[in-house]
Amino acid sequence: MHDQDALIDLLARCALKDQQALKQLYERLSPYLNRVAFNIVRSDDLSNEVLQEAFVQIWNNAGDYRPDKSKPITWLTSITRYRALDRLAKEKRHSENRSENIELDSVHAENSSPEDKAVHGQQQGDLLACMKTLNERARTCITMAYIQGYSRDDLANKFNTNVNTIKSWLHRGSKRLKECLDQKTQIA
Amino acid sequence: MSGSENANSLNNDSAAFEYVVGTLRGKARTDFEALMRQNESLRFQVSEWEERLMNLNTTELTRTPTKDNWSAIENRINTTAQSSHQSKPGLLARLFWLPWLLTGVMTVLLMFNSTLFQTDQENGIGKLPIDYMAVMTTNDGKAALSAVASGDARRMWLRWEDNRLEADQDFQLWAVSRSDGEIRSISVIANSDTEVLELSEAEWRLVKDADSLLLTVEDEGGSPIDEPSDNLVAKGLCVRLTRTDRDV
Repeated sequence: MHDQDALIDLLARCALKDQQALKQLYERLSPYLNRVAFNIVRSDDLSNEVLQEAFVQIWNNAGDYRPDKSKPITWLTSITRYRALDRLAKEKRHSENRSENIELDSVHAENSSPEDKAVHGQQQGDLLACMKTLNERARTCITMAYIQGYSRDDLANKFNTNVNTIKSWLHRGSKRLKECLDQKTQIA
Repeated sequence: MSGSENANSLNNDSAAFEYVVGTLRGKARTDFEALMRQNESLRFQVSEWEERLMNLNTTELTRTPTKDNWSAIENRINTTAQSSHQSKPGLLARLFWLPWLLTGVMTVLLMFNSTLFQTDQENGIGKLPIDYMAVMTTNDGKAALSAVASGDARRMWLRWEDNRLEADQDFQLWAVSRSDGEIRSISVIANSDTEVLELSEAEWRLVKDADSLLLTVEDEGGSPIDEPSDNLVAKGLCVRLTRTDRDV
């Protein structure tokens, strides 16, 4: 777990163009963020490049980060994921690599370790519980897209169906997930 | 809410979800990003999904980047900064011929030159714990002024975006009290060249108690009635960064 206050502090310093702060941020988070990028682009060369693009963006946009709107780790992860998705679109090599036997993070969210669940706490517990209420296809589609960067076309190939069906699964999955998470938020 | 508004809201939520999950690609993704820039509620939906789905990530799983990757990042950052420096004479030349661009150009120079970094070193901000941060934004969500404050230094560091003043005007920074909701002045600021504010004990207490900070434009010398004018430039929540109470 990365101490939230410490990350906010480092982002504030980055906003003031303190390069040492960016370096500290990099030292703390680059192995995790590189993993996030690697899961999507499936190449060490590309994930390293994505990481470079992400940290340049973090440096340039640190002043836009709002601690009251999102957790720092979410902001940083989102930047990295979006840059990885951009790179994927640029390389147009995603589909070809689908069959490669590369070690990726599990697409089954329920397989997360108890330690990891403890780290993310209640919110992760809620998400995992809500994911379990989805049917297996929707759940797998969401996690494969989010963790591994599968497109609708990739998913349609994987499930031997058409893109509209995938859109429908994602749409219904998101609706069900939102209802479940909203309900849990209200109870809390 | 009408039926069509309901449908739009549902479509937006579904699009926000697909944007975050990553299945919105190509032109649909670009169009959605353009829409998001103008639609605060859409931005909120995206942030909400980002926060929720973030829990699918496992922060303990790592993959070490190559050893030279940090150097590559440093090079890219410093190259950008250097090219900004090289563009200075051109901008200064324009400044000479187009004096009415003075304020804007100075702001651009401020944004890109290394003064802020020098300030960090000269004032020792890099070694000090930052206690509070506020990013003040305009009505349309653009950052106008970022401020960080350190209790140990009794200082506030400022980073300005594009802000203009008439010759007979000053900026004034205000704190909205968390305790009683009153608005009190922290400082009158002559112009956006000001990068550091020395805080008195009383001013530091205002920062500590602030729910949010406001930046207004006032007549030269500051508000004569000690209340903010209607000319509000920007506002932003004042966020405490450290857990330890630094009440020294």
